[in-house]
Amino acid sequence: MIIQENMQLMEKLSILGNAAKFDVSCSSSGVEKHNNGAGIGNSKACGICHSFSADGRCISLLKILYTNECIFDCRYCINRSSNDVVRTSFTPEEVCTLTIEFYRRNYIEGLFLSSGILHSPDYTMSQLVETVRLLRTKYHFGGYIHLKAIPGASGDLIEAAGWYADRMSVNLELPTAEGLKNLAPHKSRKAILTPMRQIRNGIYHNSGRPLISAVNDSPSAYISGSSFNSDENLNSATRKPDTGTVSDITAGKITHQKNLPSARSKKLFVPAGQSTQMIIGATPESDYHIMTVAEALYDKYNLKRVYYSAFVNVNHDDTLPVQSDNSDVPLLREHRLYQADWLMRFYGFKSCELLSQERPNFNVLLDPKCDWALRHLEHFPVEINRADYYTLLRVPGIGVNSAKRIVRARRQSKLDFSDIKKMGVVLKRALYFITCQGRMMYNTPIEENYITNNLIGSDWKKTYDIAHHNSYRQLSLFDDFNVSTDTAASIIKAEQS
Amino acid sequence: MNNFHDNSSSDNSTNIIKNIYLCDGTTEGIFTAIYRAWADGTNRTDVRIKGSCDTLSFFENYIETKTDYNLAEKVCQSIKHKLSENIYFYIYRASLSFNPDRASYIYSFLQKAFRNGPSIINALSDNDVMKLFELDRQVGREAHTHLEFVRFEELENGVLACRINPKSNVIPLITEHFSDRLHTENWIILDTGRSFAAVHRAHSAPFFCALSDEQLTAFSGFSEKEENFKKLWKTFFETIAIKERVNPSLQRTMMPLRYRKYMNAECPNPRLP
Ligand code: SF4
Repeated sequence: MIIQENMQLMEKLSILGNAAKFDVSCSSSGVEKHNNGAGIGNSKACGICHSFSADGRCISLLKILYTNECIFDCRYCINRSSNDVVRTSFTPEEVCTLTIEFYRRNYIEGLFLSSGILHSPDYTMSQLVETVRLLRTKYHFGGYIHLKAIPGASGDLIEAAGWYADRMSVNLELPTAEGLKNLAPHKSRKAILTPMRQIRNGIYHNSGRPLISAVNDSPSAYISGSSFNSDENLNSATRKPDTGTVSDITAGKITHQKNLPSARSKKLFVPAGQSTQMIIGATPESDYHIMTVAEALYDKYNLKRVYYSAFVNVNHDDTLPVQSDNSDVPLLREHRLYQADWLMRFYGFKSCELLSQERPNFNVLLDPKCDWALRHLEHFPVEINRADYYTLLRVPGIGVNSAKRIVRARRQSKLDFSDIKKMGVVLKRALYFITCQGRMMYNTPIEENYITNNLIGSDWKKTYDIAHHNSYRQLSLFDDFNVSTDTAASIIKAEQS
Repeated sequence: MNNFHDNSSSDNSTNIIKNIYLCDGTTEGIFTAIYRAWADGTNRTDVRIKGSCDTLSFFENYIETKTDYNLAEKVCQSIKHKLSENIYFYIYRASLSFNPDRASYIYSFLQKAFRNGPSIINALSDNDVMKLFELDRQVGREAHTHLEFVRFEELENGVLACRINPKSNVIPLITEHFSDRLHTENWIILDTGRSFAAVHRAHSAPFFCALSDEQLTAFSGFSEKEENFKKLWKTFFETIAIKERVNPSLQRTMMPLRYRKYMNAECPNPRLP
């Protein structure tokens, strides 16, 4: 009997894990919680990956659908109602057992629960809420929970979910309302943006401080049409770069993480914030269009992350872009979008600096930062011993960590190329853009064609690898992975002190 | 390139014998030897881990030190007070490294640090500082990787057991994380290479101990459920990969094979004994 039950659970897990795999987000970051004393679990602000699947993506959470039954018929989705696939659903208890037992064994950081739409959005959402309620109140689970908000579910259910979950997300699915109408006819922009706004407002009540963008927010501006890219949204981008530790660094202190509220002291609504996901390459939007949508989401909805998912034509639907083999999956494009997203979040770039109506797509051969630098050679060369932090950040080959180290170290002594190399600056890229004590490394001309050729020469292998699925560093800049040496170092440090 | 004084003798004449203080590789051992080397009173001293240098030099005088917890504590306190807690932490972590030269690196760093004060940690272009940070980062990275990739297995008595085989001695660095996380569980983390373990009883503070060979054999006899959950995890692990994006070399970079020895689903070979 037990074996029978297990077989069933195994089968369900296989079906519902498989059905959830296209959801990109697996981040377990953003919230620091200690154990609650009653059950197992805590949460690290940095997030922890527990495995890497055969495609090289991080596995941090038990990522499953509650059910793959669905009354909707989204063209890109394997679970659409018109597909003939085996359908099954978990029970709330089953999800709890899997989560707790996997967590005890250190397989996972927590649960990522999404779902197809069974009966109705409200019915589905109520099952999800019941599952997380059990996890938190019966099993006293203190680990990470990422819960999908089902578009169209009632506000009460979203609210209830938000008090149990650490992170919530509503997938935007496609960058424009038209795309949504064509590809996901049962979903509307409004049904997606309503819960997104509700969650944002709930999060904003946590802090008691009004958001800049929450004040005069007229929803209609974002709901109607594809107005995400209206100039108004672009110009109102007032967000500061997300480099919370800069002032501390310049003040001479080392801070390793932002102050995150501990869930022990106060119950917070969706403490790890919300995220969303867009499918890239199923519809014809330009990179510029996608970046402005992402920017608006960061600015107006205060999202923690926007995820980009290279479209895979799983249904071989011939109304969607045809993919004859794996190399048609737009991985390089996805990669460039992540790089650009990174530049917006951590380097203070705006989408309109990176791209424009005239140049709406990223250069496939160069990463967006090199590309930007080459079009703004008037800013270069930059003197390492004098330039401020933000200027350093804009130099190709200098990252957040190396810029911080430079700012720290140059107060002690003048820096030379060999010094900054030790600090992690990638000289092979940076050398065209910097001087150390007034000297360039090799007297190279500040000239667009010259530098472009040299940079492409040194990068083409990597670019080729990504496009052809050979990349070994492809995902290295995702913060979900925490692989950068400094993050790792600071994490352990923060834990010990 | 830096403004820090380097007082070490510029006298390279080989007729002065250098005193090398040898220690065991523990943090306390290294600190004890550092204390002795300081007390030596000459500039020509160094600290090394016993057995780490196989060629003996004619011009070196080797002095074995016996680990003395009081002396080690003194070194620890003076680092914390005269330098900073932060620096102490870097040094502590560096001392857990597997690098055979760690004692010497720490000693060189400390000599410089005590002459120049706590701002030494900003001298990122200084070699001794760099070396210490490298050790620190290496250990930190390995410890973090262990938070990710260690696996617990449930024994018959319900105890969660975890085996690791790290290069550096990471147990002291990862124990706090798990004692918070698995607060309500009985568990043990065992470093199979060092026969060193952290033991945690539910709701109480963890402690460290060395395990005898006999105790090591207690790591068999899994609970009834264990095999089943291993299978469930393997199922999940295998289904989650997107076949259109399969990329084994990326997987290997992110999760090196050496960590997978005790990972059931991820281990590419049949289970090692
Ligand atoms: S709502 Fe659309 S995307 Fe979601 S499971 Fe149903 S068909 Fe798939």
